[in-house]
Amino acid sequence: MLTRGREIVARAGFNPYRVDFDAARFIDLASNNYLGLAGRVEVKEAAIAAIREHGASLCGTPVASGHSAYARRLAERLAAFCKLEAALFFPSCYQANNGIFALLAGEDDIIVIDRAAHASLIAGARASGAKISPFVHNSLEHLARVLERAGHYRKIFVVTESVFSTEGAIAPLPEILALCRVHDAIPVVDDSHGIGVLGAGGRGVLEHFAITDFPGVYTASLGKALAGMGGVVAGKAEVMERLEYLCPGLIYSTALTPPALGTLHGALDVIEREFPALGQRLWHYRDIIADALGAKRLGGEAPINVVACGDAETAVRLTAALYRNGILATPFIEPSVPKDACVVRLIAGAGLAEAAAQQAAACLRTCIQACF
Amino acid sequence: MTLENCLERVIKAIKVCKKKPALAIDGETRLRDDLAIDSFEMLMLANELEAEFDISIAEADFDGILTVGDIARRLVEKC
Ligand SMILES: Cc1ncc(COP(=O)(O)O)c(C=O)c1O
Repeated sequence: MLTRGREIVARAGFNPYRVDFDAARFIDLASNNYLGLAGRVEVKEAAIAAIREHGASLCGTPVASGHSAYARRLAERLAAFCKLEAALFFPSCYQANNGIFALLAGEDDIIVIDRAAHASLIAGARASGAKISPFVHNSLEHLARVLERAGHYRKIFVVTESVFSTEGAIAPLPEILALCRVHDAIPVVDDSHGIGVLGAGGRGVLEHFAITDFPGVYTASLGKALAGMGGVVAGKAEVMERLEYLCPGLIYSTALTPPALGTLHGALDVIEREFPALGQRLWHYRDIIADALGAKRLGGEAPINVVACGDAETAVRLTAALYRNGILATPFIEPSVPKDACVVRLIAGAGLAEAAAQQAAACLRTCIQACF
Repeated sequence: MTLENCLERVIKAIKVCKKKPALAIDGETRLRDDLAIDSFEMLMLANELEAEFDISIAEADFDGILTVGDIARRLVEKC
């Protein structure tokens, strides 16, 4: 795989792994800075204020020195923001997804998981020792079929993402939850690309679908729309308590640093104050970029645009052409996506100026024409 | 179970996993190169086959498999 990756990079004369991110020189369609909060003065000031007050790091795991009233208040705030009972911070969402299943599931259980779920969910589920049963991506029909066969397991988990970021599709969560109710299954949803993005208030997928009594486990990255670092796991207080005391990825890892917490604090302030306008701009830019892609656009509903490229070489070539024209984009190749379904992803965040979004759209039209 | 009958049922299971009932598949079709089936999808297929044949399949049972026909032959040996 590495050799093949090197070949593609050599032929394209462009290495997507080694692009220096420079949002001042480029139009950024590559990052997950959905709302532009990473560059907002209020958010940066909140991070700096948190360092001043609490130090650069607590230099310890939660049980050693990493627990603080500040972190606890913020976890409560984030849980309330998502309309969930309780929340826990993890060093990253990868680590959260990777760690929770070992505690929740064992060898008498089954984890039914969307085949396109994030690598961290798959790795975590596999490490639990439970039976793993992937279901066809976003297919309620196949999920139902798998669940019908799962009755003899002790506990059943159904795992999905809210927004699949390599295509922009939103999972049919209400219907998935209905199936979970019928089969007495526990839903686990990763809302990394939904938190700060979906819903009238930017509160994520639960708000988007008006789900008020989510019975399962919710995870999300704090490093995307929320413009910080870390992961959150949220849900029922009793489940969070169990994780807090027993999840190795949490108890044996340094707690989130004050600047990470401060950033989250600042980001939530901005979202609560300004989301209607920020959200509107995000969706407006999505439409501008979508228009430019024409038939090459994979149809997803989220504010993510994806160009269907087929093979890896085309995906890297298109990314290279965009780069030479001052646009940063993200190619996805195997194993992130099937090898014949490579894509280039474009996220036009609300922090871009309208002129930049228009310029990017014009450039995309030209580059797509040249690459296909 | 004849090899032919087994192959038919394997192809049916692959079409479920690929969500493409019209896919052209025969015994020579390569799982990875022609159908882009990766290891996680292979696991899905194994689960479908477990249900179809009412057997249990370990991941190692499919080691070294390249084509659709290889799966059918392995299953005939196993059943
Ligand atoms: C769906 C999903 N889950 C989890 C992660 C990992 O999150 P983190 O970067 O916080 O580890 C990502 C991407 O980074 C993601 O896209």
